[in-house]
Amino acid sequence: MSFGLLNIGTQALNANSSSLAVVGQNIANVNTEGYNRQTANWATREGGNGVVVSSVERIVDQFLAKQLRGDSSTYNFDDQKALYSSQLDNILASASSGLDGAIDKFFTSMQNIVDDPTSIPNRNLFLEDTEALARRFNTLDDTLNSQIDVLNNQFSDISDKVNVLTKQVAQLNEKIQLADAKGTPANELYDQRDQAIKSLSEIMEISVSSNNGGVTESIFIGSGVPLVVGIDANEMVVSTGNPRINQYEISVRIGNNSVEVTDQIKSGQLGGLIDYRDSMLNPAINEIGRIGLVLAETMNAQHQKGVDLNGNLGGELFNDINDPSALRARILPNHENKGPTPSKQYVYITDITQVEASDYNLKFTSIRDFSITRESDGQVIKMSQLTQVTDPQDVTDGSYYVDWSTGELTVSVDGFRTELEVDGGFRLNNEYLIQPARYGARDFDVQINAADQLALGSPVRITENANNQGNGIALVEVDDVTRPTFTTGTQQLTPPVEVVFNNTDPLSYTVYDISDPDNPVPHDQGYGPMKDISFTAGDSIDMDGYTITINNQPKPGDRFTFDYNSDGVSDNRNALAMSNLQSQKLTPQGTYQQSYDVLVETVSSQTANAKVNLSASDAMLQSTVNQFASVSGVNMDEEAAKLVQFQQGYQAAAQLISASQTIFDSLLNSL
Amino acid sequence: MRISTQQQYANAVRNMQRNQSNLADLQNQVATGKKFSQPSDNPLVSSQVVKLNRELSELEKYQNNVEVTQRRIELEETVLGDINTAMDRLREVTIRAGDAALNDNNRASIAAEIRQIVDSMAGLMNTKDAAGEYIFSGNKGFQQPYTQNALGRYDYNGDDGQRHIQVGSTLTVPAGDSGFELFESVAGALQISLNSDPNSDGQAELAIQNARFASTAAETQFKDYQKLNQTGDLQFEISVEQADPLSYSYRILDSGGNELQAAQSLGGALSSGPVAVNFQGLQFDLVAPPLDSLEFETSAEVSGVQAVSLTDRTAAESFAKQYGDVTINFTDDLLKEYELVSSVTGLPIDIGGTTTFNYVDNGTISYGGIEVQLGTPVTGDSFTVQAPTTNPEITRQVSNVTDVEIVDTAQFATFSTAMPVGGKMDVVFDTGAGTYELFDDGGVSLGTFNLSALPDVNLGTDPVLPSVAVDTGLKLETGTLVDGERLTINVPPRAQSTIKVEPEQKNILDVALDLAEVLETPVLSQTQRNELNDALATALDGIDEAQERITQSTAAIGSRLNTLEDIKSANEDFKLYTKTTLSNLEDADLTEVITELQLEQTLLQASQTVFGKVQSLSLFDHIR
Repeated sequence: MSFGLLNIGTQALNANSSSLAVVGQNIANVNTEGYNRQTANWATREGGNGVVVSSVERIVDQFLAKQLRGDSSTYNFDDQKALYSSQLDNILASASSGLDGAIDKFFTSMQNIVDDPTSIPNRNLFLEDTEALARRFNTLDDTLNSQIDVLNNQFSDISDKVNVLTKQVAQLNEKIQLADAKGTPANELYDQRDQAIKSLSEIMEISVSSNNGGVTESIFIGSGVPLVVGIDANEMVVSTGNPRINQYEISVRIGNNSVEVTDQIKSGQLGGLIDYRDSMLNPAINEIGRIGLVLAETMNAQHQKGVDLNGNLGGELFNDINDPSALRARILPNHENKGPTPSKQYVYITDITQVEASDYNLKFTSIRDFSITRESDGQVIKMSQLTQVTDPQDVTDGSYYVDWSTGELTVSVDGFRTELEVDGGFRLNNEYLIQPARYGARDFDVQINAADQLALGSPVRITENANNQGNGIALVEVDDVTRPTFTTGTQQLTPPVEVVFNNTDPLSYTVYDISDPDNPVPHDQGYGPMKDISFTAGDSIDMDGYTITINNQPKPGDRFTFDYNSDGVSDNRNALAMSNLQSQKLTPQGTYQQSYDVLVETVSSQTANAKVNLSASDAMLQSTVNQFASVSGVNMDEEAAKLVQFQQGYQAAAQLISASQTIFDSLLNSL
Repeated sequence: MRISTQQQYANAVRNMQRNQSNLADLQNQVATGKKFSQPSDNPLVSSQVVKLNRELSELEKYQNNVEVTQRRIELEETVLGDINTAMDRLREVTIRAGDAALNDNNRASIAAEIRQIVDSMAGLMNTKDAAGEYIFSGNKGFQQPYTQNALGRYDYNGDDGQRHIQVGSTLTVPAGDSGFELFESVAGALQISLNSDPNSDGQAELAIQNARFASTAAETQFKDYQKLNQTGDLQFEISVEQADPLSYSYRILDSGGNELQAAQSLGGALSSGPVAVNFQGLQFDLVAPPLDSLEFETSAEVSGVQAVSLTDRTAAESFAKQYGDVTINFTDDLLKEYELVSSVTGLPIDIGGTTTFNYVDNGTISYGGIEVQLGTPVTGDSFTVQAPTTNPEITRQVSNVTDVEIVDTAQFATFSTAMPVGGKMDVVFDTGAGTYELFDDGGVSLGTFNLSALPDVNLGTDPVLPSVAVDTGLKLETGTLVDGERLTINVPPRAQSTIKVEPEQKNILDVALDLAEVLETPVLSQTQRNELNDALATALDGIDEAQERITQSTAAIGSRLNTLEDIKSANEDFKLYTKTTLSNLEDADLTEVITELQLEQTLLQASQTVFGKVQSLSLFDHIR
């Protein structure tokens, strides 16, 4: 009997002391990150034989742990996206780095030359502001591209961190397996592994699968690409993009193969960075490129329709958007393409107002077939949707020319024309990345460096006969200075013409060629003499290179002559036309600045959205963290109470032993 | 709920951090006075702010333009004022010069004064602005507008360009006037110039000699007639009425082809010397024009097609780029169907899913920017329209006969006598057989001839049947002839010329110099006295006309200045309004922000106090 009591007392003593040790462990680890509280589970021994500590349990709710991982992936995604998009938002909207102010300044400065086109200081000032505009485009492009470099470095750092964590998980899997085999408790190893997995989930969304009742845990990303399987970890590597070599991509090395996973990482810190790069940064670079192209092209077109201070036709104000070096840079073959490299690869911008700020992918999808995918919206343009023509010269938007045997393709969509030649024909599945707008801001440059070369006047001088009786007003719009009308002679109009109104009802006019002023001849542009053409106010007369419009009501006998604007230094008509471009809708979004506004608005609302998402996912994460902590965290008061509880238990058990001794002594003494 | 001790601390810290972050944000609002520090803080309002700021900068731009324009116009106004004063003086001395009591010396000294005034006016007209640009040169700002020529008269070297400056989003204002507009406004004597009709290679004006106005009264009569009837340039036409004996008739038309003077027969009068003609004050002498300079009226037709014209160049060029030359084949004259065949593909062109189209006799058909005027095509007719871009020099006349001329006047005289007067002759080409056939006006065949000597065909000289002999004395110049091509020749030839009558434009300086010259000439006879009086009257008219123009311009300038003033104040108002809106949108309401700041501070203090209380609560403190 007393042995039984002694036995029970000893067991109770042990049990209480073990529990005290667990309480001690809990108190000791109250501030340890990733520590889950433990409790000792007691069991009664059979037949009134006392108590035993059956196990020391880690208190973890696996459901909450999973939710915590998911929430922290989401939170970190939003966190990174909000962080970077807010930077982009600041860069684009800032007066010192954005385009809006620079474009404003450019046009304000242009007003000075509109007001006073003969002033060389004004012209120089305008040239300087033109330079400043070009620098702004270049700098903005540079800033955005350096963000890509920052992201590349981030990718490298993060993948290093991932590799440390996956290795840790694999090693812990091995240790836990061993401990499990030996039957040694391994609660702390489990805690460490959980913690490593949670860190991984901050970086990207992962799925965890338990084997052998949770002894080992395997980790997968995306569509089941394994990062950790049992005791093996697969390495995550970064590599230069294909074919965008300046942008890093992420892949996982499994055995000797590499699996590209960039597009599969949709959440976590890394997901946030990738999403930011693909959905905000790259489109922004394309968009400012496109604005650069539109501005350069439309300004050039107008500037070339003018005459400069020396009476010559205007040259290029900005550099030609279809410069040979630009043509080649716009198309990149995929590195995995088979066959020879293209012998010719050009992308011409044919109609800048139609060009979208997107990358395109040209793919030879099957034998004698190709398709072009617009990446901004995923729209696929199939060969069958385009018209085939028989001469590459005839390719216009929406048509193509192809010679499959020699490997020549000319195709035009969305305002750009791609010319590709591959010796020996095109290979199946070969892909080409087309970036029509990407380099528009980088390559934006000023071509004119002498103030007198700014072409501010119109090349056509209008003279209204002093004896005109009517109130007709003639206007000229220059359409194309490459027509023979302007190019046959230098600084002259071929031919100079006179529009004379005749006394008919309705009023009619005749256009005379006055090359010989003493012998005017009705002008013939190859469609018969322009004689007795009936007139309505506002009628336009196409003069092959320029258009005459006569408004109001001229009277019979009224004359207007049109000649080359020699010495027209004070003429500001072309400068006015250039200045008017500021308010013209030149892209589907509107004016230059409205296009930029749309970009800033898009970025700022994406940023605002990211911020809202961040605070939502933050709240979500906090609530999960609280729930998780509520189950697994150590509460000091609770531990203090348990300390008292087990101390008392211990004292009572000691009393049992003492009672057993007393009983035994009594028995001995009674003998 | 169970609370973990670690969490308790972490949450307390988080709450305090949130309070502090809100505080920082509010502090920033107070410091900058703006509600937002970056667009994403409120994308909607930010985009409005951007637009309003742009509007403001645009308004400032316009405001600056208004000021620049005002300065220019005010300078112009001042100079014009001075010129007007000089003109007043000019008018005074001109009136004084009319005093019959003055002798030659008196007049000479007045002439000297006039020359002085002219010098000073020329100086004013050559005014430059601060930047060294001549203000009255139109667009030729670097050209001195008035320079003296060898005769001592002033030539205008500028043009009539006018600079417009933008002072509102859709409003431009002229920032000056050219000397052409202001000073070249005195109408001088009427000038007559003659031009032959460009279609005739002869000089029809050779028939008109000595065109003139006999007196000022005749000049006025003609001027009034021209103005009243709005004739424009006159067309003079002389025709062979009868070839043997040679007789002519003439008529006069206005610029629209309306007959002002019906055909007037001259009979054989021209052969005995010039005939004087007076038309509404305009006098000229008619002489017989060289016969070979006369022109035949021809109307050409090819296979039912009468004319081709271009209606839309851009469309025509892109159409031609795709299809090249287009052949119109009339496939069925019962169903009235035709097709268009492309020279590029050699196939009928498909427009809107069909290759066969319908036409109406004497109607028009149009395709790709080209309009074709039809006659009465028959099945099998075909006609090719060359593409405008492949060879823009090609004359797209329907017939390829480019000219009809007389090569043998004697032969032609014989031939035309045989033809009824006013008659016509048809030439129908059959390129397949290498022949052509001549028909008279009644459709009677005059014979079939070989088409051997292209491109110059002497009509009627190479008969297929030797028995026929109809030598017309006419020669055709041709290009490549089209089979079935038909040419109608109006047998009596004629010549046309244009008579342009326009007042000569003079500037006020030359008007004054003309007067000075007359004043410097001694008056010795009554004729010279009359000339002097005429000159004085002309000068006074000129001065009046010039002053009238200056007055009009000054009024226009005044109203321009008023407009600018209005725009300026409207811009100011709009600027103020925009600024107010902008301020409402983006400026922080300080009262509100500071109240919030107070609240946030209180919250932070409360959090801190609570943290102090909570952390002191621990069971361990109570276990002894």
